[in-house]
Amino acid sequence: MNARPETQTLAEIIDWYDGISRALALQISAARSSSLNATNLYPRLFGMTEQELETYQDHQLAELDRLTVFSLVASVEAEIRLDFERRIIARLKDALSLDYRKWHGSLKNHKRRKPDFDEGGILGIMKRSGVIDAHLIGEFRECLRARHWIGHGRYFQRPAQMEKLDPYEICSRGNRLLQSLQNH
Amino acid sequence: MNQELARFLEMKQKQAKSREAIDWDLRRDQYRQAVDSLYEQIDKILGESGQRANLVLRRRPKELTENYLGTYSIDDLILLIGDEQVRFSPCGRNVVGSAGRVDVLGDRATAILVLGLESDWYWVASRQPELKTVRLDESTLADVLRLVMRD
Repeated sequence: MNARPETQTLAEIIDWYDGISRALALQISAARSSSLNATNLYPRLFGMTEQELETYQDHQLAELDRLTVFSLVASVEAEIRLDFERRIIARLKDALSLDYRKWHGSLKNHKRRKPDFDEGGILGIMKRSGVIDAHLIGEFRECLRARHWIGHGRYFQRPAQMEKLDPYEICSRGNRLLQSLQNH
Repeated sequence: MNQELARFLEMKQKQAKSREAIDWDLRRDQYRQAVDSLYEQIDKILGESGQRANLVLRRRPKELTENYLGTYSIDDLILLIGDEQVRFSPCGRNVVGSAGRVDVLGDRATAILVLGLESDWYWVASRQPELKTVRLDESTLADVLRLVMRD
């Protein structure tokens, strides 16, 4: 709560993702139709065969997907943390806010400033309060594991859920959880 | 019919016609011819070096498959120098920004040769940060071999 937050909405991140993936598609398309000795060609692509171009595009898109997944999950976490702070500061009286406040009051000083988020943290209290559908919390937790894997340099085995977690799926899950949070 | 759809279909037909206008057989034959010329050029350069007797050059046929060109036969060129081998291996006619490509594979690295507009071969000395191609001649071939072969 020190500096002004610079959070991004899920829609802003998806807009960025769409823009970059479209730019990549245009770059590849321009390379395919480039004439000999074209001067506007991205040099990295020069001399590539069709198969190499496809591999290059797949690799770039996969990386873009992962970075976008990271940003989306981080954005949802930020929103949940800000919502948590709002409820504590405003001393709201709804069931979730009361559960948050009770738990927050039991924390030691350094944890109060930055409470844990997942297990034993804000999400844990959210689930325990029973106000938010546990399924929504569970499906978002799968996204956290994906972010964890990306954010820690992918040195451990890739979570199995990664296969089904593309940016649009993460966005849907995040939106569902945030929407439910707003309704309570 | 919806005007927009009609325009779209018309555009696709024009695109298809322009693709048909390309003589793919001719492109494939020109590429194979250019690869033959490259191998002759290498043989000649090596001959002029005075070391030809100590080298072995062999051709080995292989098949390449490319969109529009189908499957066709083309030769690799194997250069044997002592216990080392360097393989000149055609990768295809349809490559980005040039009229064909041959890779040069050695024990240490791989170099790329591309076919230019005037049927000359160029070594891709670097792609990044800037594309740098150098026309293949005796000096360039020496650079290429130095790059791909063991120290």
